[in-house]
Amino acid sequence: MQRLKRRDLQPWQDPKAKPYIHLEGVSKEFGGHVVVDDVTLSIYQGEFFALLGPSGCGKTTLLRMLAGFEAPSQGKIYIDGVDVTRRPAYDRPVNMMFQSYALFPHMTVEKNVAFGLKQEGISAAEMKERIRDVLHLVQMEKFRARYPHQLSGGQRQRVALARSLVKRPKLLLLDEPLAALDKRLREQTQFELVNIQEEVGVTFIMVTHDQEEAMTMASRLGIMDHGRLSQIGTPNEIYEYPHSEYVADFIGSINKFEGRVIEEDSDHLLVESEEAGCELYVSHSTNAPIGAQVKVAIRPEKVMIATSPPEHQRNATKGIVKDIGYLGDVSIYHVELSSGKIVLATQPNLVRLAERAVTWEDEVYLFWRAENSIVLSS
Amino acid sequence: MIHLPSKLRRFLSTPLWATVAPYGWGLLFCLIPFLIVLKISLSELKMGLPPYGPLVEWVEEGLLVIRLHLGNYTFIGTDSLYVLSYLEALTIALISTVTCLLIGYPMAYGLAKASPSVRAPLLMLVILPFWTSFLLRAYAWIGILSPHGLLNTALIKVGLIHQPLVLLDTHFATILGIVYCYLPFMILPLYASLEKIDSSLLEAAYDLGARPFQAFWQVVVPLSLSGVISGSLLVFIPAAGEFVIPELLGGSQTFMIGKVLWNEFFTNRDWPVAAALATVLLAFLLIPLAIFQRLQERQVRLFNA
Repeated sequence: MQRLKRRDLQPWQDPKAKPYIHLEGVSKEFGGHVVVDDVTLSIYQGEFFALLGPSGCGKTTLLRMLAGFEAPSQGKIYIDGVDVTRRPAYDRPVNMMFQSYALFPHMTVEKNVAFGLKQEGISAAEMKERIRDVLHLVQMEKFRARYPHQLSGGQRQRVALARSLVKRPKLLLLDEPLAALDKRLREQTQFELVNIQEEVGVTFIMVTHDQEEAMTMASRLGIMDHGRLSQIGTPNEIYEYPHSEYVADFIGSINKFEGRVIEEDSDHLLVESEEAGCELYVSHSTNAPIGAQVKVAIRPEKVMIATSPPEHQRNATKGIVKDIGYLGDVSIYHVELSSGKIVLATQPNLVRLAERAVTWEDEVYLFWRAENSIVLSS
Repeated sequence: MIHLPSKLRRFLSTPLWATVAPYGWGLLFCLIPFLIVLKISLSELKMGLPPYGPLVEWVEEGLLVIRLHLGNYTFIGTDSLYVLSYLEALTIALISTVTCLLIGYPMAYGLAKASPSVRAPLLMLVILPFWTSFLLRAYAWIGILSPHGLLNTALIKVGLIHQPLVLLDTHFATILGIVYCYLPFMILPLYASLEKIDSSLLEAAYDLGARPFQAFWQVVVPLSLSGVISGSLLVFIPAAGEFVIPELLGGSQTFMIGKVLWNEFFTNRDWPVAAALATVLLAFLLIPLAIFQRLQERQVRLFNA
């Protein structure tokens, strides 16, 4: 099998690429309550796609519709060009790894993995070979005769993965795959899952509420909010260029300044903001007309701190250090501006705590580069 | 608050008390009565009160004599009436148990799958018959099954039959009565075991390509086995010794061992033979109990480890 490397795989950039999984205007209602609202989404072969959102945002329902456990109220689902919208779960080239793993407690590891192959009625010899290969892939050969209750959480997760991969699905769905593991194991498993995905080349769609997990593992993310897809993009795009306030708030923390557009051109935007105490210069265009109320956002790690004033007037303000959160590798400074607004600025701890220049109640200057700020739509 | 002596209080608060209590109950109301029955079954029939002879006797010159009359047991073996009654009781109990299982399983499955708001009233309906006397409910079937009873009258009125069917005083009526009376004992343990099964297991089976029946057969049935076994035992054991239902509905041609036992005790007043019959019946019932125990242990191992 050809190994697909993450960096070579950016089919969404290619206008000629054909989507492998395609959702067209998919909606789901439960008793008049809209859980998934008009989702249109294209996923390409070999992708590791993550659906990210808080609980109740409809991401699990969307996954269950792909698996065939729920039928959409509206819209169509295509897998490899075939309309599977009305196909039952047992008749789809899709497998799912459940959050609880859903291993059959009355079957050994081997029987659990064999279950799906038995339904296909393939020969005993081929079955044996495929089970051996997949148990080797997840490093569980030694545990083939064990029952699920005799395995640790991490081992169960591997068996669940093997059980769904052995079917060689066109699409593998993962429902909060790491939620049942402890933190240390979760971090280790993240990379392992990505490696396995690259090795088998199967398209993965993962549902998670953990942004760090999604950012680390996925090739692209879809951020969901109240049943709608707010934004789709690579982890980098989502973090650096969130389209909306919701996405910006959901991924990491961000400083936001309210203001009014006073100058607009094809390559920049100038915003007057009392809250920030300076003019905000954003070096990319938006559709905001002059006079419009907008929010300009800047990530804390992009805000620089200095004890002397910077050379430029725009994107530069000053305030008093109210709090310092020491996290070891970085410190988070809470700086209060004259408007009362608290701005967060993250600085790497290049020198030891006792030797650093800025401390509580110091007056400091904050500034950032024009290309690092973004304009958010609310 | 009542002030208990500290020693007693300590005893009551220890978990030991919790383990001793059920054993004490079993000893007092199960083992001791059984030993009395066993003793009677090994003694000699005697006119008088009690209607059996002593087992242990002091004879002159300090001689202690223990007399075990195994004759009661050999008598049971030689008389075909008893052998046939055992077989009939076990056969009727088996047919009733299987029937209960076939009716009870879909009902229990439906209950387990029902939404929580519907489940409570449905469970209530399963338990509701217990609010009426068992005897009355068995008796009511006479009114339904007799030649001029509700069922025959209705069938004749509809024109399906012209002569009343012989329903009462048959094996059919006995089995019907047993199934009717013991069905809740099948449904409740089945429901308890089916309700415990995680619904994602069934979804996982579908997801892996199993059609609904395959998923049911390969996942739900094996996981509900403990419910099947305990439900079956709860029906089979009392049904095998059942006296009231065959007496009321089975007529003179139904010779279930419970009826025969009753006759030995109260009509023949042959307590030793009756006690021997009861002991043999218990031995028959211990076999399925032992099998059950083994299977139950296996299930517990699978789920609770």
